[in-house]
Amino acid sequence: MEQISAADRAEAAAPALITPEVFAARYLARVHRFAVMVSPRGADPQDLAQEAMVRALGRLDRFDPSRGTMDAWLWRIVVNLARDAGRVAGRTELLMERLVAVTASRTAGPSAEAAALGRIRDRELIEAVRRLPRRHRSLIALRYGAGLSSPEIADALGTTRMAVVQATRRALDRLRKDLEAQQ
Amino acid sequence: MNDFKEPEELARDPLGARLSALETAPPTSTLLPRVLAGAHAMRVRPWRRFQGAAVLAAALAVLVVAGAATPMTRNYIGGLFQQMNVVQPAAALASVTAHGRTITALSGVDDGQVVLLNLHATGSGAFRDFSEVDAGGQPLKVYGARGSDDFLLLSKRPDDGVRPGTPITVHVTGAGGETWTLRVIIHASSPPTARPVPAGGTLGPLGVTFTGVRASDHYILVTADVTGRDEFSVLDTLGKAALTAPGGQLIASVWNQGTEDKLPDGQVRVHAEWYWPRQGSGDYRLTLGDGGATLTRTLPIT
Repeated sequence: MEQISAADRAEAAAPALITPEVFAARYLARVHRFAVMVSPRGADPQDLAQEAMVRALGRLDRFDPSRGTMDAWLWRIVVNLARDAGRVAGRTELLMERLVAVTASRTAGPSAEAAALGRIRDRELIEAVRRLPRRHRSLIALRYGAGLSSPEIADALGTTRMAVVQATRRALDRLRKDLEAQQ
Repeated sequence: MNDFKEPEELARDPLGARLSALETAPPTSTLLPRVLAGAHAMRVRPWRRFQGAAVLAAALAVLVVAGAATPMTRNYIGGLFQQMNVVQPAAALASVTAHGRTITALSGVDDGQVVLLNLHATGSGAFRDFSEVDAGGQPLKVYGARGSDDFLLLSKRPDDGVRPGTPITVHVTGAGGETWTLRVIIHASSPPTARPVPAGGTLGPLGVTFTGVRASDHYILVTADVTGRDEFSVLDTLGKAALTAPGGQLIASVWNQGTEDKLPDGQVRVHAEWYWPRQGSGDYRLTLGDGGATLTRTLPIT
């Protein structure tokens, strides 16, 4: 997991020093990347990224460093918004996911798979992610779009770390099957 | 939290590694100004944040009561109608209550070609389908809806349909198949008229041919054919269209639409339509694309 940097500590000591411009420069690209991956086909990721950033900026003066890092605070806002907008699965869906038997199957070894994956264009992969069911898309976007660790995702979604790990495995398995079916 | 160790299998997953290395399109150049301007892009229901059925039901009841007791405020979609110079009448155009929800038509534009309707819905749940029929019984071509509890419905009247300002019957279907029907009469306004069409050009690997510019008192419509190697690259680029008003301010988009054709050479041609609120008269600046490749044209709207 990403450690709190010296800059974050300085920022935590004096959050008022963070201007909207600095905040946007630090987080907009990452929030946008998450939005690109979590938005289903036909939905504009920019709307989600814009709204999430506007909400966070509107509450910046309420950020309390004693309650956690700015990253964790921001991603809770982003996930809540995405959930409200129907783009991120809720906790209940994730818990339901835990009850489903693990049926991971792979038809190729890791190295062969890595080679095959290398031939898939970025756009095709993003399209495949955006076609996933919402619960799978949420996990993929939080981990590989926002770059969050399992504990950070668990914190943002309000669930357990192991639930996140298991659901992420299943999301990857589902995406893998979809990609294999396309080949 | 820091002592948690990711399972090795997950950390080494080749597909995970590939996803981590994925290059997504960067935010458009217009996104940052919109964020810093505090412009809201969406309106969502805050009650979904609550977890647990009991809390959800209680929160919903409070919100429904609060919604009924307080005047409607102008949100993002309402703001778009304001920017289009659409005056919200003191009385709603139409309203229907059924299945525990009330759908109200607040205001709209009906110029004989395009019908834009600002609807407000109480209660929860998504809507699955919208259809509209004119006074002569002919269906309107419904493009879709944008927004959530306050939303915009965009449709086109049939070419040989009845005149604007005549009743339109709107059918709304909920996710569970429940239906609501409203009969709406929107004050007729002047249709958009043709304006000079800018020269086409290229946008990286995409070819752009502008096919029309039309403007009414309420909106500006730009149409273009954009050709590229695949639908995704074309539509992704078309989403990065920005219009700057004569006063220099960025204008929020009302609607983007694209329908595609497959060309014999395997390329894809998308017929794109962009709708923006009209912000006075003068030279507007249209920018397509972002980052490396952009195509900018001036649109004189007088």
